[in-house]
This record gives sequence, C-alpha cells and structure tokens, in this order.
Amino acid sequence: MLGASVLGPLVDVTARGLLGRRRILLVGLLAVAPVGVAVVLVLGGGLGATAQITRDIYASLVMTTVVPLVALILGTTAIGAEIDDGTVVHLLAKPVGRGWIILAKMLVAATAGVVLCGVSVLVSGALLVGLDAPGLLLGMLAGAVVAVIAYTAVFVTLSVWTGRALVAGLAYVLLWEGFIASAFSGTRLLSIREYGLAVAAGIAGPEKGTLGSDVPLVTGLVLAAAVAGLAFALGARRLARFEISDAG
Amino acid sequence: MSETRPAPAVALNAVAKWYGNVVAVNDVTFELEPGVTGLLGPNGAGKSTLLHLVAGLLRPSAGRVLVDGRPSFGDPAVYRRVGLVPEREAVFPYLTAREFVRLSAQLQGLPIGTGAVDRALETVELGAAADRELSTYSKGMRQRAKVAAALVHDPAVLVLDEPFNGMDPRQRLHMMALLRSLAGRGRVILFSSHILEEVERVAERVLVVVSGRLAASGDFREIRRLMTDRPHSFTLRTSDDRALAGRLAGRPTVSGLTFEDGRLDVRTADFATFTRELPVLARDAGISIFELAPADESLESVFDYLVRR
Amino acid sequence: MATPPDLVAGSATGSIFDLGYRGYDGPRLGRRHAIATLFAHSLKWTFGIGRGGRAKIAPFALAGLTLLPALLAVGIRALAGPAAERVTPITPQNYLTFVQTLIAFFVTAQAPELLGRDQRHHVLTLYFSRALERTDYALAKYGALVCALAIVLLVPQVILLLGMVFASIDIGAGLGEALPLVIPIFLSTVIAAAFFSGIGLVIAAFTPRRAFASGAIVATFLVLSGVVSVIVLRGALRDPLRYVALLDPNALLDGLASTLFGAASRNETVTRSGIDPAIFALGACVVAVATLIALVLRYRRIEA
Repeated sequence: MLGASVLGPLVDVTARGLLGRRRILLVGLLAVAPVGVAVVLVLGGGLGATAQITRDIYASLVMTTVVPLVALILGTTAIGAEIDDGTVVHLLAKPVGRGWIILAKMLVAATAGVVLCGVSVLVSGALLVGLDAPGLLLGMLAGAVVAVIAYTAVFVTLSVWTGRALVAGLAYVLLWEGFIASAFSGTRLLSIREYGLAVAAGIAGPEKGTLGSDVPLVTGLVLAAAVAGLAFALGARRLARFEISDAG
Repeated sequence: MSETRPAPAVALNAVAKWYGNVVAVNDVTFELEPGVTGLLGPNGAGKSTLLHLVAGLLRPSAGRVLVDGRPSFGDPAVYRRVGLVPEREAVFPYLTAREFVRLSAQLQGLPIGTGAVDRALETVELGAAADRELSTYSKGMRQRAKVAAALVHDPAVLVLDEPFNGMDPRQRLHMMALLRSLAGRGRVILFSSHILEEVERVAERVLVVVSGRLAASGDFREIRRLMTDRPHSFTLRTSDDRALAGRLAGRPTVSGLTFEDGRLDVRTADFATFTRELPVLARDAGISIFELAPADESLESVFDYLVRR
Repeated sequence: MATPPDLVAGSATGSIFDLGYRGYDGPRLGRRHAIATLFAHSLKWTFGIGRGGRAKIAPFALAGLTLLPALLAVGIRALAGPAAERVTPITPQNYLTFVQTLIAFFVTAQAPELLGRDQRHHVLTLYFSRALERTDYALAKYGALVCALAIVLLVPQVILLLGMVFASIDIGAGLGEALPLVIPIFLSTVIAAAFFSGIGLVIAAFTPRRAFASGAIVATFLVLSGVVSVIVLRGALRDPLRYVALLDPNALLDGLASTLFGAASRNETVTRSGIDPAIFALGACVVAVATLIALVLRYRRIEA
C-alpha cells in the first residue's frame, strides 16, 4: 500500500472541498466575532482594565463559543459531507491506508481552524491590550490552538462513526461542556475547553489573571494530545471497516 | 498497458448480506472469468449490494467474497487490481475531469508523467472537455469521468454499477464497445443493469438476480435451453404453412400452434425431439422451410420466466 | 368534472376508450386554499404530526420543558398559598425571559425541518408550478412556525394565569389581576415567536442540510448574545455604539416583555445599555418584519 505520497493529493482535495463553499462564510463570521467585539469596545473608548476585558472575552466568548463551533463545523464537514453525498467512495476504493485519509481530513480541518481562531485571538487581543501583555496573548493563542486541534480531531472521528455528528457535537459542546463540566469539578478532566484554558493559563504565566482551570498545564497538554491521538486511532479503525450505505 | 494477463479470480461463495431483518443478498455463489458479465435483475433485487460486496465496500454477513483469493473487505490493497464505477452520481464538483482522474491516479500510486491520465480521458472521449469542472457536466459526462478514473490504473477487474445511466445512445454504444475491447484483452468486467437490451448487447455471461438470490448464471441462450419445463417457441416460414401446420397438429411433441399470414408459431415442450422430427415431416410433405427461429430465446423471455418462478 | 374518455372504436356491442391524458374543466380551489393548506400542513409538520414517532420527540420534548416551569409554579402556589409568591420567581410577566433558551432551541430544531427537505429534494419546483406563488410559500412557512411557537408558549402562560386566578382568595380580585395581562401576554408571545422564528427561518432558507442549518442558527443566537453582552457589560459606550445592544435577541425579548407589562427589565444588556426598553420592543418588531421580508426575498430568488 502507498505511503505518505498520498497525503498531498488527499489534503488537496479535502482543502478544496472544505474551504470553497458557503460554510466557510459561517466559520469566517464566527472567527470575526471576537475581533468585532474588540473593535467596538476600542471605538467606544473609556475602557478600564483592558487585559481583564481580554481575558473575559477569551473565556466567555472565544473558548466557549467561537473555538468549539468553528471546530465543529470544520471537523464534521471535512469527511461528513463526503460520506453524506457518497463521494467518499472515490477515496475509499483506492489502495490507500485509511489512516492517511483520516490524517488528511484532520490536518486540513485543524489547520483551517487554527488559522482562523489564532488570527481572531491575536487580533482581538492586540486591539485591546496592544503589545503590553505579550504573555497573555501568547497564552491565549496557545490555548486556542490546542483546543482547536483536539476539537477537530474529535469531530472528524465523530462524523465517521455517526451520520448525526453535528448534532452530537453540538450536544457535547452545549450540554456537556456548557453545563455539566463547568458545574462539577470532577468532570473537568473530560472537557476539551478545560485543556485549552489550562494551556492558556500555563503559558500566560504571570499575566494569566483570572484565566485558569483546575487542570494544570502539563495535564491539559497531555490530555489534549491523548484525545486527539485516540480520536485519530478510532477514526482510522472505523474507516477501515466502513460499509457503504446506499439505496440499491 | 499490457495486452493480456492471467485472470484473477473473483469468487463468491455462499455470500449473504442482511441488514437486521432485511436480507439483501441470499446465498450467492459464482466465479468471474475474463470477459463481460452482466448482472441483471429488477430494481431492489440486490445488484448494487452484490457489486459493493465484490468491490470490498460491504462486509458479507455470511460466506466469502474473494478477489485474487483474498477477502475483498477491509483490504485497501485489493484496489490495485479493481476499478469501481459507482452508481451514485456524486463526484467532487469542484474538480475538473482531468483533476479528478489525476487524483485517482495519484491515489493509485501511479508515477506522474506516464500519460495514464490523458490516455484514460481519451478512452472515454473526454479529452476536449477535460478542463471543465465536473459540476458543469451532464450526467452522461460524469459517468464517463468516473469510468476514466476507474480505468486509469488499468485494473484487471472492473466493476460498474448501472454504467449506462444517463448516457445518450451514441455514448452508450461507445461504452459498450469499450467494455468489449477491455474484455477482449483479458479483463474481468462486471456490470449491472436492469435494462435487458444493454445486457444482451454487451455481456457474454449473465447473472440474473431476483430478490437477492441468484436465479440463473451463464450464457442466456444456454439458460434458455436448460429451462426444460417451459415450452420453447419457434417461428417458421415455409412454402406451405397451412399444410405443415396440419401435419404438426397431430404430433405429441407440439403443444401449441398459431397461424398468421406468412408465419407459423409452434410451441413445443420437447425441444430435442421436435427439432429431429420437424425436418423429416417437412421433407415427407414436400414443404420447404425458409426460416426457423427461436421466438423466445431473448433475454427478456428468459428473465421474465426467472422472475416469475 | 373530468372530461369523459374519448371513444376510439365502437360498435353496437363494444367500445374501446382512449384513457390517455384527460383534462379537468371543473372548479379549482385556488390560491388562498393552497396557502391555507400549506400553512396547515407546515404547522402539523412542526409538531411532527403525520411524520411518525421520531419526528415528534424534539418538538414535544421542548414543549414539555416549556410547560414545566408553569406547572411547577402553579403547583407550588396551590400548595403553599399566597405566601409562595415571594418564593416562585416565575410570573406571567417574566415567563418568556425565563424560557428564552428553550425558544431558541425550538427554532433551532424546527426551522430547518420546515425548509430543509423542500430544498433538498427539489420539491420547490412542484410548489411553484401550482397556484402557490413564491411569496405565498414564504409567508405560509413563516406563519406556521410562528403559530407553532406561539402555541407552545401560550399554553404555559395561560396556565399561569389560571393559577393566578384560582389561587387568589377572591375569584373576582383574581380575575381583576389576571385580565389586564391577557393582551400583553398575547402580544409579547406573538412578537417574540415572530422574531425568533424569523431569524431561524432566514438562516434555514439558505441550506438544504438540516443539521448544518441547526448549527448555524444556534451559533447565531449564541454569538449574538455573547458578543453583545460582553460589549455592553465591559465597554463604557457612547452613542451610537450603545445601540449594539439591540443585536441581542434575549435583550430584545426582555425589552419587549417589560414594555408590554410595564415592569422593570431584568436583562443586564437592557439595563446597562441605558436604552429605553421600549426601543428594544420596537427592535423586536423590526426584526420580525425584516426577517419576513428577507425570507420572502430569498424565496423569490431561490433556484427551484
């Protein structure tokens, strides 16, 4: 079977499919939201502690809504759209290891998500605090990147396992991470948002302020990597046993 | 491309596929040889399911599907030897035909610059329109693009699901000629259709599937001959139909006679004896036979019979 | 009446008829009937009636959840008496604000159901080639979802009202308390249903994929609320940027309720923005109408 040489073409076809259509508009709008907030606030003027505002926006808007939803839309569409309309058969009926296919999908979705969310975080943060708090900006960026990667990996795998990945992902983000994980400290270890916040606080160091999580930095990183890796393995395994469902 | 190859075995052995309570394919056994085999059956008979089983995209619930002696499911390496043209229209609409075939070539591990992509496009006569996006293509053109993508690595086994769907008559003829020429070079071609004329024109062998079961396999004329419990019909044109009819009416092998201007239709339950008796009768009566043709050896009548059984 | 079949061949003892295409010259029910039928069908569709069991889960579950606080409030009131008023925070006045998340969820779940399938299966061609105009289609769908949502929201409020009447010591006094609330309840419910539905329908009209539409709708509600509340709570805003607050659906809802009931607003965005709640109420109406216009325009131009 073929090795890494298939990755290029797979990434290419995925990127063209994922990024060329209407959904990119939605994802772009989501990513622009924090920047819009920052612009409005700065124009409004009279801001007090901009660093604190930045942290609040990060914790309540970016990490709660923007990052998970961007990852959700990109992740579920990366392979979900092709499974849905049947074009995935053109990728499966080839002597290509299923792991490479999954890897290509995750790479494209994660990269797009990292770029969008990373730019969003940096620009909105820079607008508010300027370059006075580079540690904070770096921390927020790192946290968003880690969270996006973990989220997209999970959502890509979810779309291989079920046709209702978008709904399942929404339920996870809104219900699990929205209510449960934030309510009970015991379950914080099972929330990707917590990993992201942990990384953000850890990297921001002294500038972290109110940002933070019960989860320590290293644990957050390790768990995020573990989740992404597990998602990859499960996705590749499921794809290897994938059965075309088709009305005959 | 090499001209001939030793034929790989595609073999199904007591294969069944069910979804919960619904049995899509039931106890199917056959082997494919080089040449064109048509999979024929009414809609919902399980043709697509069978093709997907052969192509390794479905796991058999029972039995074994072997390509080159190895199970086809869960083994991506099988696609080096197999090309699949799926039925669903969906292709990547944002790619041009050339890019689509090139993607197929790259995923097959073909080195760049061998011209395989161009050759495949030429074979399906898409060379001129190859740089337009697939979303602008008609249904028939998309079919041809899919065929090109499936042929680019010169597979030994080609599986096509309703390949003539959406093609105009000229494209259909071209595709039929293409399939026959590939078969002539030793490839194993398996295609499905519910249109009898298509199968009749292209396939050397036929697999008839009804309600998930294999109702018949082989050359359809031979199948017809095997259906001994159904009378054969013949059409005769002779120098004196009426007189011959009179003679035939008395023979026990003849079970029915129909008389019409210029034509005599005879039904017989005993094909072998009748064909021995007829020339003798005619000669004794001094009647010349101008034409004797089987009236119901068409695939349609075979199929009809098998479906109703 | 259908035209009778033509005689192809006939004699004293037998005839053969041509049963090919047969025209219809009789009365036709016309456009208004078509609109009414589509409206009724869509209304039933929203509740999953006529669609099998699974389709009923989401709407009825959400309706049940919406009903629950009202039942609880009335129950507690009945048991604990008038003293309970201080304990149960749910009154007809703040009911809509209390269930605002459920309203958003209902629209998220059902707007795509109403519009998605027709787009996906190219049924629109069939609709538009009948007496039904494109505008009518949009109006009927909008009306159906608004109606459905209004029903879901009115039932609990009616129960609360009844609870109010019967729990008071003197039925007459109770009625006196309750009757003035009827019109505000009705108006606020209808307008709230209209602008929430409108937002959801406009988004759902752009994609046949229902899950994607649901995701987009919920994302819109979340982001609008989130963005606005951050801006309003953190920024010290001068005009005209203060009016960003009008982008928050929850704030519009609360402003609407407090204006119609004459009560103070409890939504932080409303209070902190310093804008009169009446402006929010007006904003709600504007959104309701604007989204309807957008929906009509979309369906005038959609490819069928």
